[in-house]
Parts: sequence; C-alpha cells; structure tokens
Amino acid sequence: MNKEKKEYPFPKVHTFMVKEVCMAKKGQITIPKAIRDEDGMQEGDLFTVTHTPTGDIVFKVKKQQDPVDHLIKFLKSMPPIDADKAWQEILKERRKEHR
Amino acid sequence: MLYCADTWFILKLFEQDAKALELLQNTKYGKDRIIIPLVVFTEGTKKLLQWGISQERINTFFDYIEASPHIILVFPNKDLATRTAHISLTFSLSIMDAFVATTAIMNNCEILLTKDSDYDLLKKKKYVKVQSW
Repeated sequence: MNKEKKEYPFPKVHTFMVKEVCMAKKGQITIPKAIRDEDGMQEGDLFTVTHTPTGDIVFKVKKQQDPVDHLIKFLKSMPPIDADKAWQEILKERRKEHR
Repeated sequence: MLYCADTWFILKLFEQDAKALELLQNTKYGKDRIIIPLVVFTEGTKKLLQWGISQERINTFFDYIEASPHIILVFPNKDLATRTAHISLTFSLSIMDAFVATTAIMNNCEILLTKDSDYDLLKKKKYVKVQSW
C-alpha cells in the first residue's frame, strides 16, 4: 500500500506543557524555551493575540500561508461521510445519556 | 460574524458540504470567526473514528483548525462548567448540549451552528440563535 504524501507544513503533535511566566514592565512576556524549540519559533515570528470574553488570552503563530487553504484541500482529499446519518447517531447518544 | 460550532458542523465539513466549506473559507479573511468547544472536539473525534476516519487524519484536521487564526478551540474552565450545570438543569438539556450552548453564550457568539431541536427553548428565550441547513 502506498503511503499518501502529506502536504502538511505544521508540527503534528505538540507536547502539552504548562509554564509560569512573568510579565515585564511594558507587558512583555517570554515564551519558554521548551515551547519555542518544539515549535521552531524564531525572532521576528508574528503572533495573533486573541482576548476571549471569558478572559482567556490565546497566542497563535501567524503563518504566512493560511492553514484554511490546506484544510479545505485536506477535507476534499477524503471520501465524504454522510453527515446527517452520523449526526442522528450523535443525537441518539446524547439523549440516551441524558435520560 | 462569530459562530460556535456544534459537532454537526464538524460532520458537515467532513461531508464536504458546500455551505460549511464556504463558511470555513470566510474565516480566512476574518469575515467570520468560529469557536469550537473542546467537548465538540471529543465527540467529533469519537464519531469520526466510528465512521472509519483514521486518528491520523483527525489529528491533521484539528491541527489545521488550531493553526487557523480565526478558528479557536475553547477549553472549559470552572466558570463555564458551573454555568453548564445550571443551563442543563434549567433547560433540561444533556450535559453535552449544555456545554455547547454555554460555550456559545459565554463567548458572545452570534450563531450556534447545530441541528438539534433540544435547543428550541433556549432559542425561544433568546439565549442563543441557532442556524443549520
């Protein structure tokens, strides 16, 4: 069986890490080295910072090519599923657990 | 427009539904944004595995989701968990339904993408707007 060629520019599995960092005078924080090394972050990389209504702050590395293009191409590379049928199964399971 | 996606929307993407893909495309330009509750990630993974999609492909899918600047995976905190319990009790929703609805409400989502009549009372009380097709 041929291995399908992966056009996948991002690291596949990330190590779950929790680190404590301290904010400096002008709001700078340092991303821990372990995280920088694992994700290949370099000086000059851009991030988007999202402040959610629940108070979470989410940092995302801004990649030059939008991953949505890759995502849509990836979805179209697979045989489609029957979403309505799968969803009916889920509804049954949710209602069964609720009883 | 800020959307909250139930597992229904994830399945629609795997169906390559045109409208779902269009909405996804819109996030590229920030015209629309989508938040995905972590519980949807779990339930979606389970259902996709049951339907024969490999874990590797599911990982790839969610890695792209996480890399997208306008699609956010929302992790529950204690506050969200508490409110979920109240919404489940008040509206007689399953914990899963309540988690999804509460995530939408607490993140000020304009639309919840789902196809579930159990949300009708929440809709009626104007807690959340629901959209499906």
